[in-house]
Amino acid sequence: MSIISTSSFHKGVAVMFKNEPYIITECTFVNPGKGSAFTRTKLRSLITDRIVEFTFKSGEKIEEAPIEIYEMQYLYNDSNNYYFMSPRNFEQYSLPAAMIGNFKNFIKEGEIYQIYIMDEKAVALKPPLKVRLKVTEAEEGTKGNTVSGATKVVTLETGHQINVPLFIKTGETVAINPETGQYLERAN
Amino acid sequence: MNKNNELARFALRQQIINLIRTFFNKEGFLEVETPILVKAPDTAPFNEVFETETLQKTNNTRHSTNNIKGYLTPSPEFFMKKLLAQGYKNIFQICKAFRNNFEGNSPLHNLEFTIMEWYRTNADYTDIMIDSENLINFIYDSLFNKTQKSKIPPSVASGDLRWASKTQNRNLKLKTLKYQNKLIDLNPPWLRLSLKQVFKNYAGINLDEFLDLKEAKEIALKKGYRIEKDTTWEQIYHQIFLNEVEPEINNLKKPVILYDYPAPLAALSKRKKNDLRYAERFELYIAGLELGNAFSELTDWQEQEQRLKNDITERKRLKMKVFDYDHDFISSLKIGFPPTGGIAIGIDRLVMLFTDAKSIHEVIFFPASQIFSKSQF
Repeated sequence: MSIISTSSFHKGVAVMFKNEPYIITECTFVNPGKGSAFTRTKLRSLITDRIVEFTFKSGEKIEEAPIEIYEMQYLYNDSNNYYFMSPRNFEQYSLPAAMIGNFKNFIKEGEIYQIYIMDEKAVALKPPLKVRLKVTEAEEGTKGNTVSGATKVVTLETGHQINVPLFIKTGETVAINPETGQYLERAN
Repeated sequence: MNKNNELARFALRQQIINLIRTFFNKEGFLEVETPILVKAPDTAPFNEVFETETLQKTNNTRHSTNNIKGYLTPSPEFFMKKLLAQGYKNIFQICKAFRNNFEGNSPLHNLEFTIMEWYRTNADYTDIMIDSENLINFIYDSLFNKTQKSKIPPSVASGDLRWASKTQNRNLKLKTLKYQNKLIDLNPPWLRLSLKQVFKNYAGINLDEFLDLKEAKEIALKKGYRIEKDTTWEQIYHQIFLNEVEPEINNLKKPVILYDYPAPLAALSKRKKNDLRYAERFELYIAGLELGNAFSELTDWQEQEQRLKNDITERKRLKMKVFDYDHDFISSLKIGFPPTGGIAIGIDRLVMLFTDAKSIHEVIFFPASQIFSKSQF
């Protein structure tokens, strides 16, 4: 396990905190006085998915979490778990549904995703910045319907519904930010 | 960003500054302007300074080694105190201050910001507490208790005020300010909490038994903080404050006056006569925004000179810019001035509070981060 200092902190870095692995989700500097500088972080637990906040002394040494990232193909899910397969060794890994969270609205069978691995076990999914999904159901956008702000609701191939601009038609592929659930752009 | 909201925010910014002037004119204070370009700035080691030089011509060469270094002031305090020593009483100033601190994308900092300072002579920090309550309430009343709807910013729009007045106590006009989904009651008296109280209540620490480095290290280790050989007392104090105390203060529903700081954090304040371990300093927090820093001003020139010398040593240790401290300032203290209370308030943050702005960038026309390229985070 390597030791890093707060100067290496940024979003996505995995650290050990109170003997458990966390991912940094936010990081800011704080400078309260007398020359001391601090690094305020938001950490997401890779075990419970809960967020904690902690302010480190700048320069403080932390253990990096022994996390690796493997690319895996999503196979299917049942009520408890989501199942992935590593294309390298064809081994199956599972993640509890709770660790997938809202990403369940955007996860697509057969797609490759980045999975955090610790001690040879899958602990979390690292959501991509963008997902590309097909629109399976869209009504025709009616002109002059500006009450909804020139957007309409469509259904994606995952069954999830989002707001998109009026010009998006059934069968088109759209890019979405999975963190916010917002439409980003038309994709090919 | 919505252009109308932007215009309303900046209109409110100017109204607030005008109201501050109105308030202090009514109080009989004199508005002053002191230099922002100085030879010996404030020595406080938590502010790095911007350095420049004044050209001195000798032998007709422009680039002379006689050029004198100049600095932009992080605070107008030293010069305002020189005015007090010259016999001026009750003065205030609204001006720019410059602090060359790397703050990443901090939503609370700008390299160049607007500061206000006022000094009340024949007074101490408790009088400044009352001034602060009066000033903020005066601003609130002038902005929101009149019927000019156009001046109400979107966040505190009629919806909230109507709700507030329906539930108000008949005898006490409710003064609710909404900031980032927090509802704050501005009515005085505000919460006055000593550092000793908050460390006890929120961190379970008796501050009297924490003032020693050895004691502080033991307590921090027991709490699970990481301590190295070179960890300083200030680092331990602040780490506990930031993790355990400040989050609680940020949840309080009234403005908070946090007073009586441990002596190592006295800055330019007087230590308490009956307890030299603590200093008459307070900070003002409203809805989690740190708005002001106030002192019963230190008038003992020997103690002040020693603190300035310690600051320079600390600046050397931290490899910061080093300069000789302001000897004129010390001379002013030798001349002396009456017991005085003073405070510095961040005007941009005050505007953030009244406009429900999440970031200081929303209340400054051209934030420094737009002008100078910034990195990550």
